[in-house]
Amino acid sequence: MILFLDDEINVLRSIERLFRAKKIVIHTTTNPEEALRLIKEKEVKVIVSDFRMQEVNGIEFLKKVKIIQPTTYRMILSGYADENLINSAIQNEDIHEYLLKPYDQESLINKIKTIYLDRGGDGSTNTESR
Amino acid sequence: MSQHNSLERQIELYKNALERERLSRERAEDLLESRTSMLYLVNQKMSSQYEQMAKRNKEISYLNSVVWILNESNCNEEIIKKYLDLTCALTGWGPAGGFLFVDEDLNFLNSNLVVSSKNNMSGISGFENLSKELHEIAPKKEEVNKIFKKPRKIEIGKNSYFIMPMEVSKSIDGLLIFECSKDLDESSAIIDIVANGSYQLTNYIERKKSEEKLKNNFAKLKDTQAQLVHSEKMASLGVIAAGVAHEINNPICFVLSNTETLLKYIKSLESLIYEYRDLANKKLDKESIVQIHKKEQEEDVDYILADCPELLRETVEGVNRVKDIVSGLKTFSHIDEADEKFVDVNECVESTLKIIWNELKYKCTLHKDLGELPKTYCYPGQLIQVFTNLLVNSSQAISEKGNIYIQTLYLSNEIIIKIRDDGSGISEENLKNIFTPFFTTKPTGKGTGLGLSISFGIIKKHNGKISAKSKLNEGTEFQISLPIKDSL
Repeated sequence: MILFLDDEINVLRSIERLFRAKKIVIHTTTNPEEALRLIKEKEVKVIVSDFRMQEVNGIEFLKKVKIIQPTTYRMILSGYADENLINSAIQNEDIHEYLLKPYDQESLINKIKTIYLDRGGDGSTNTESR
Repeated sequence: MSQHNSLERQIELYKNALERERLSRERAEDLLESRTSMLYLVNQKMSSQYEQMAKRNKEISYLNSVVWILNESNCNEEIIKKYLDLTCALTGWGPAGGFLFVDEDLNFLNSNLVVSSKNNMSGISGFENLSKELHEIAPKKEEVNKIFKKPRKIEIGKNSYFIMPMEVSKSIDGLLIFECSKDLDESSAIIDIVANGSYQLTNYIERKKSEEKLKNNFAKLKDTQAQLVHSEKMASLGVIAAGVAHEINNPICFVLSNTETLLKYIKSLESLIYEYRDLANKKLDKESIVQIHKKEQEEDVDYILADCPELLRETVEGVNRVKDIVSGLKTFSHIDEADEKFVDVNECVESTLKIIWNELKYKCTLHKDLGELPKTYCYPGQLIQVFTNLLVNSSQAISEKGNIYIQTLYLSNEIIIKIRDDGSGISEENLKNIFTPFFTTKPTGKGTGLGLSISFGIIKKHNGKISAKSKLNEGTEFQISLPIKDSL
């Protein structure tokens, strides 16, 4: 499963459109609790989280993800984040990567796809239920 | 016989009378002479006293004139020239010149020269030559200070000069030099008068110098203050810039992505339209209908058609959000506006919230209770700066989740603004210092320590009051009261 967490529904909608066009199925949610529940229940190969959210900040959220499912590839996708926080989070391996908003469609999709396949995602992502 | 005797006696009597008369005349003449000489002496004394009085008068009028030129002239050079002229007129000395040392070195060659109107004898070139001579006598500060500490007469070549120091702030700033007669008595009264004049002169120059210094310092102080206010504004801006960057990048992110997606949609629809046009020119058969259906599915056309309005609606919403954020920033950039405006203070509160909502919304629940307020003349930008400051402080006092309460009300001709939070609060000890410039409990680089002191200054400028109540771990409340000002 590929999971996106962002408190801005419109961002998630734009990402859904992007991946739909490439026939890659993704899951999105604006609710961190919901995201954690999915991670507890299913195998999530890649998680992409916003940094600044009303409920929680992205790094704190991904720390929880790391505990529940350490194999998940954890990314931050944000328009702004405290660089010091990001760098130390990368050093602690709380997060693997930091991507900037606005994203470039091609590179975002290629990056996610590559990581997903590397982690044993079965190429035919479109078979997964949305 | 008896007749003869009586005649003689009569003669005797006349003789005696004559003698008496002569004696008394002589006495009278003596008296007259002595009176005359006394009168003469008195007269002489009076005339000398008159002369002295005339002299005194001249001296007093000289000193008066000196004081007068001090008040009437604009620059030091003009004052000195007039002083030299007055002194030459009083004493008959001259020509005269004033050397004003330019630098700390007290060097004659490097000094401004002012020459009296009477300069026919030696002229400017004469004084320039004189400066060389003087330079040889006293080439540096030390010698100048030593040799010319007191008024004195010196001989250079054939000429005699009377020289007085212009002592400003206990150091010699210049010299006044008069060509004088060889037999000028250095202890004569006129020297005191002239020295008194020069004392008035230097006193005045000194006063003017310190006035200027004061003025400069004041200007510098005002400059520094303006800089501080500006840097505080920048600091507030820094706090909200992070929020703004995030808040602008979010809508830009999906607007950009959506637009690129829309371009792909258009390409899909375009290719489908071409297919349909082809089909229109052909004879319809079952196979081509199956074909076009397959193509439609490939291009996901049902989804595209359903999604297009949604996509555009979201995109427009995103662009509008960016527009709002930018207009909020514009308010912030108007903080320096110099004019008082007739506004509703609630509008200032709303503008402030628009700007810093991004900073607050992640951890604060905002409780707004804005009462109806009459308009008042104020500096809206500056009030926004104050509100921004208080709200950012409140938000920083809240570590994870908390509440901020904003209340405005109109009470006995005053506008009351209360901003309260349930954050960490301020200790009693620190509460005393919060309005003190540079007082901060924030770590280095996080706070200037100026926010509240500047807010205090701004509210004071509005003739208002700002006060704070706080309890550790319970929260803080700031109250601002602004008197209504309904005309400028």
